[in-house]
Amino acid sequence: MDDMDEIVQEFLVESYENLDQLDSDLVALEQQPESRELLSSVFRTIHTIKGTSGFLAFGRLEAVAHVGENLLARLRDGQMVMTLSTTDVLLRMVDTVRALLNRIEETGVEGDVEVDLVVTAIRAVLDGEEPVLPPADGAGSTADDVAPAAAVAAPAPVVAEPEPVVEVVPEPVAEVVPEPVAVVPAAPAEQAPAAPETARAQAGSAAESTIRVDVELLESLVRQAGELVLARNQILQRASALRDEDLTRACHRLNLVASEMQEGVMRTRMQPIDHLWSKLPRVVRDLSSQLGRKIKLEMEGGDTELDRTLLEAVKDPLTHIVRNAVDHGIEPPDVRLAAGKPEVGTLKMRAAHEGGQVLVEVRDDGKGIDPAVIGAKAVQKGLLTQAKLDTLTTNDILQFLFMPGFSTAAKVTNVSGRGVGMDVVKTNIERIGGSVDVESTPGAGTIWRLRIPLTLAIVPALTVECAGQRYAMPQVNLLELVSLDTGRMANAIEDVGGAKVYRLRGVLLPLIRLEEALELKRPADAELPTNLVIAVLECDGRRFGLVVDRVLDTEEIVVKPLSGALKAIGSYAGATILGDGRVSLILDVQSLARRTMRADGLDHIAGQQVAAASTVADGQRLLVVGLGDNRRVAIPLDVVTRLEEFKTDSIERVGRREVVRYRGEILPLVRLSHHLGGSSRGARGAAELDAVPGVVYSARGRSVAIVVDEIIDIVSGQDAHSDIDDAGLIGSAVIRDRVTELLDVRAAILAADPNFFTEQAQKELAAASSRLGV
Amino acid sequence: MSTQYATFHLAGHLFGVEVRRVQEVLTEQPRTPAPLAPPAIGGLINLRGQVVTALDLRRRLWLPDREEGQVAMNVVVRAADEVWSLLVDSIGGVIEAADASFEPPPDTLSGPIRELIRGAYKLDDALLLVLDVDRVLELEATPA
Repeated sequence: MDDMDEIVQEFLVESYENLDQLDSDLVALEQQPESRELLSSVFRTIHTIKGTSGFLAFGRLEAVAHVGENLLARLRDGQMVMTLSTTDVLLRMVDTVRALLNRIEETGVEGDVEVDLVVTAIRAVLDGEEPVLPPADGAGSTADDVAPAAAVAAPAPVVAEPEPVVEVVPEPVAEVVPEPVAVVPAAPAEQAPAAPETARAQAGSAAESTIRVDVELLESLVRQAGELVLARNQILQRASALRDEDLTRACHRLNLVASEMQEGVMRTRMQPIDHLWSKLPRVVRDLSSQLGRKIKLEMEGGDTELDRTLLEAVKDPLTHIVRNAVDHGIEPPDVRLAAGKPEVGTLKMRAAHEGGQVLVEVRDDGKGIDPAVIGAKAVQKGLLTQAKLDTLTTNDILQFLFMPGFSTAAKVTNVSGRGVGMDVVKTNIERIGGSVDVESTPGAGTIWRLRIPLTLAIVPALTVECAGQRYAMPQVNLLELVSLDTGRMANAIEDVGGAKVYRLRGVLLPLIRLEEALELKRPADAELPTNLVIAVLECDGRRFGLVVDRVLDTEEIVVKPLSGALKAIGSYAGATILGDGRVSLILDVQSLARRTMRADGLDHIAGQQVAAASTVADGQRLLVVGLGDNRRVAIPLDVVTRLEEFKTDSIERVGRREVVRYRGEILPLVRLSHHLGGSSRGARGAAELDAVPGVVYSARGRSVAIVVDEIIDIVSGQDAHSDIDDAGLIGSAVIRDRVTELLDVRAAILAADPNFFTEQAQKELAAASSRLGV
Repeated sequence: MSTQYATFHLAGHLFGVEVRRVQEVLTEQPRTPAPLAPPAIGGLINLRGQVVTALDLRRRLWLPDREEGQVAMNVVVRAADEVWSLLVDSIGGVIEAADASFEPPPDTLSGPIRELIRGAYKLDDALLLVLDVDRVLELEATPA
């Protein structure tokens, strides 16, 4: 009997996975009714379910799958063509199958799940008649109120020419298929609707090179890999002091192996975000037909991978945002036409790696969010006064959307607008160390951006020193570092109503001195630091500066829990063990940020930020750097791995090229001012400084450094592009009222390291061919 | 009947903790201070990759602070679901104390320390004070 249970369990797991794919496949089929591949894939899934359910004596399931299979066979063989009503009955069939599987999972038997109606409806379609689908009785129970949506959609008169309600532009899933991913079970062939022939041919062998692994086991491997990395860090540090050649060699190998192993283990938990997205086409289709919207769903970057635990945590927030965009973002067709927009709204999902995080963007071209409405609502709710409201930036006002119980929906629908939602979205995303922000242009649309860490177990952190102690903080929150000598400090730090602020490029930045925040005591005889560093941090949409004595390093740290007594303090997010074996506390940046917001006298600072607020348009975030002759150059932030200060004396020449010693490696270097044919800042020429700021870009173990004269700011990209360009540039834009040149990053990287892309490309090719078993 | 105690010295007193509560005993360990923590928290130590909170028993028991340069030994104890290290002056041995010689806290002990002692054993050459580990680790009760 146990064997039997196991078989049923296996059948359920596999079927659920296949069904999720079916939903997207069917919606995609509406757009490409001719696609033999999609049809074959759908047919195979249903065929498998039919076969197995017959074997396991699930009669109802078999009956449903059987008629479904008949219909699919005709479609596949070209005897029938996909229409709106065919898709409807097929989706209903999937819902019914899912309901049956749920019942089997819960009770072990099929019970009395209603199947006759669906069977009749499919038969009707087979006979060329109009199917009569009754309202769903909650059969598609997996997608909460999505099922009723199908019900509303179904009885709609079927027009002769099927109108595209949802257009799905499927991302070629092919790339992710042949990769052996341990946690992605099921025959990949079924999951590759749009896979090209080559990948399809490989599908068989891919299935054989894939195994199921217990997630618990993976988790424990990840933990142990983290511990291994810590132990390695400690050994390396000790060994370097001993100057034993053999030991050094062994350590070097340990170093490599540990790094590679950690990377490998982390990759076993990575899954493409497609796993989560595959459910969205169905959600959008059902919701839009229920609400009478016409929506084209575009997806880009579905192969972006992130840790599966994070994927799970992002699922609900992301679905909520998508539903919200369909419900409140995109207008009904007539409203859109009246506003001079295309009838079909566009909902665009984009995922990409960006600076060690995964950026997930949901962008609609709907009516946008009117800050005036939000502001009025906030005043009405007594959250702030009108006078105060007038001083807030648009960005500040939109933050109200994330307040608990804040809903601006004129009428409450069952889709969204229940006053719960965005605050929960924010809480859930921040819980996993991510962030969410929103940007909207009334009339033009809204962009929601989720930034999610790649993984939870190991975080890149910045270590700083203050009053002789070291503290770590997650790099996620770090925007930039500003170094001040004490002489300049007196002038640079101003006092606004009792609170310290620093004028950072014209914008007042509230400051917190770590020394004061943690009530650190310096020994009486300790020398005061001759200069200080302001770590510019961002959290909850607020920027503030944390003043510390020194920045030590950037390091990958493993977060360890704190005992209850220390957790209760609220200033620490955890502890970690640094390379020398000493414990270091991890600062809770969020709680520090709240401290600034509480501070009196900072209320009117937001007003002064209005002047500097950029008119944000295009999604990309840019790093703005300064060069000689007052030039400003923008570099896309997603090619910035790290910002560094290079000691001038660590820069050396190798032939015609310059290199810099950096974290035990030799890094090729390009000076941007030379590269772009200009001069470095005259009086402050790089040679006279003892350190120069640099932008480090790393990809697959290779890094280059781009040395600039000054790091100025990070901004969101602009629309005002002009194609006035020059060698090494791809154009220019006006950013914060200054003409800013847009760097051709590829050319700059090649100037530093001509082989950067060649070898990387070769490696990628090699990796790709090994995946294909060549 | 008798009970086994791991003993240690603290400001001239002899203290004991039931052996089954003690995980291990360590010499002086580098400690990372925890700012804003209650004064009795002696910092954090790295116990084979685990971050363990150290409790300065002298402070917890209202005894005078250790002198400058005097080392602190670690008695690592298990409590509820956490591991703590108790900072003490020096480590004694394991003593088997006969239940018959157990008495409530002696009158000579007064003040907060009395609350944190379960009782005392009259040994031949000394008085063994039995620490109430669970109470000692209830830090909310510590006056700041």
